[in-house]
Amino acid sequence: MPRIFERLRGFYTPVVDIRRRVFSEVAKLVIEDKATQEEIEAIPYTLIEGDTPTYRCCVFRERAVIRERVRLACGLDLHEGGENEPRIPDIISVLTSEKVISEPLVNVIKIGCERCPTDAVNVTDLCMNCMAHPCVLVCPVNAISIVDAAPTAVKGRQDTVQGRAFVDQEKCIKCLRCTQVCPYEAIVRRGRPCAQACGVDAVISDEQGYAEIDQQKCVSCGLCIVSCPFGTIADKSEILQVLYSLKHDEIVNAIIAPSFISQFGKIVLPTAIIEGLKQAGFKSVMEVAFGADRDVLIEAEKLARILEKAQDSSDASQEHEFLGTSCCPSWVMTARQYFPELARFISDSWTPMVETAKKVKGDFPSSKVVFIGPCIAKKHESLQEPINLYIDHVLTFEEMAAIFVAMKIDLTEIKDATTIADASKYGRSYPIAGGVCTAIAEYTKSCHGFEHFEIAKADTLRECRKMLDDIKSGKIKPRLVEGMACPDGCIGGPGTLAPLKLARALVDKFAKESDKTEPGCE
Amino acid sequence: MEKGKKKPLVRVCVGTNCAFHGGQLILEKLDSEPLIKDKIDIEAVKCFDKACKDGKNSPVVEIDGKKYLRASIEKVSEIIITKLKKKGE
Repeated sequence: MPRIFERLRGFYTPVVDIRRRVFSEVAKLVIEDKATQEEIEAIPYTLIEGDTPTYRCCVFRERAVIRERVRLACGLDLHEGGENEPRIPDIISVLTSEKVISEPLVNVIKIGCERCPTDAVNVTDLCMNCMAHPCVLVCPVNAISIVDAAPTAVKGRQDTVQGRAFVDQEKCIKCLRCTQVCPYEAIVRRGRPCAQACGVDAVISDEQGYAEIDQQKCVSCGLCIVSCPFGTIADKSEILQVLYSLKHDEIVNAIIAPSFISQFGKIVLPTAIIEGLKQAGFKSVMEVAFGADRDVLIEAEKLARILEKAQDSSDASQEHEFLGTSCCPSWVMTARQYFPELARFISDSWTPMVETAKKVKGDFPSSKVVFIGPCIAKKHESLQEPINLYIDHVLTFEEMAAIFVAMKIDLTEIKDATTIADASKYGRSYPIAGGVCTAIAEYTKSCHGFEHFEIAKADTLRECRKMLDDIKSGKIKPRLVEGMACPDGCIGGPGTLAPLKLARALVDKFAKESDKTEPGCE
Repeated sequence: MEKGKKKPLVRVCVGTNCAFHGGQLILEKLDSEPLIKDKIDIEAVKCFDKACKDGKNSPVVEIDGKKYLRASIEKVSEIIITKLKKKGE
């Protein structure tokens, strides 16, 4: 069964449709020189015409949700309290090429939140009120009773149904034994998709029952955004400020994450995407796999030191040392938050994004660098010091595609004009789960001669936490540890356009085709 | 399938505008749906000129020569299934 964040994946849902249309409408206004307060405030009316609602109770609520999305797309905060304000009075402040976004990056649009039930074990109408009622017998806390009488007969509760088993939520400990013994599979546990998707338990409820994000815990992985079936969680975008930079003839360079390969399907070659970005006004485009290559060198070296030390020392009581990969900022933040005693084993090297941006800033001083990738955590990373000196803006692939659409750049029409050769197969295999540790392990073998050591890897933060638990307890003793916040790695990131299977195949092919055999620089 | 019986030809525009507004995912879904994929011919194509160009019709899908504007996976599968039923599939 697909995991919660995989259930909506690969479908062009109405949620995806609205998100993309908001991005392309905002982009179009900037490109057509029409980004005024009046025009931007009109976007909800362009997208929701007439007076018949499509998804919600009324067009007013639909437009209110879109208005909040427009605010976030422009880089603004949500309206405090989600009030139904028909205007966006502070829009002028973000019509600039400066960086404007600030925390919190991941936001619940409360007016769109359906307040779905938090974690509960419920008896569905499949219950036959059977004679055997094993659910009642198996429950270790006597939380289940059979309700024969009218609903009012059970302590005045209104949510009981006649002739059916009933779970007292206050007693229930969610051991799920009842769900396993019911002959009709009539008992289910259900929760909020947003909270279930979150690997760091950052999605909570406010007093009214609306989803809320605990910003102290949130690591901006973005899985809640793609898991909410009502499309009511969104991140801030810099699409407007990037377009202002391009439009006002600033020198803007793009650096593009290695999962870009497959984003527009089989018939759009990687070089066409690069050329498309140049047509959009980016002065240069560099593969972030270049920075990943540098990290392979650095982290293989660090790993070799650890392995040497372990070889030399025969003292078994010594603390188990390992090298954790550093490329995924959500994973690093999670490790620091939950396992402070292990976090020091995570490599302190810069992420591939920063390594690549440093190179570009060196080559083109006083120009801008925009990172384009599948990742929302990179938006968070780009706000930190001193990383904000190297990265000016961050876009997702989805936001990049909206720019192409708004500029009427058709990638299928681009004749193969450029070549791309910034990185080796090592760096180019970073975006697939397992690719990072494989690259580092291979290089540690070929360059430092170490071959036999244990590797552990995990994708999604819940799995990463389990892995770190196992390391902490001594159950596993890996020397190289890879953590990825997104399912299947960066190719499963919230900002992607391409389905997984295609992404995996094409990223793999592109890595193998690299002319550079070594991750060494120049 | 018997020889001579032509499979429905489904051509999905994956020009950037159509791809962004769902064309890409329609293509991938059809291509990976075991109940359908072997019974049709699927092609990814560049823009159908006029039908795609102004952007409001995206995504555009052509089935046996007839173009469907603002297509969705539900609509496209329904048409394909109706065609297959007619042929007795």
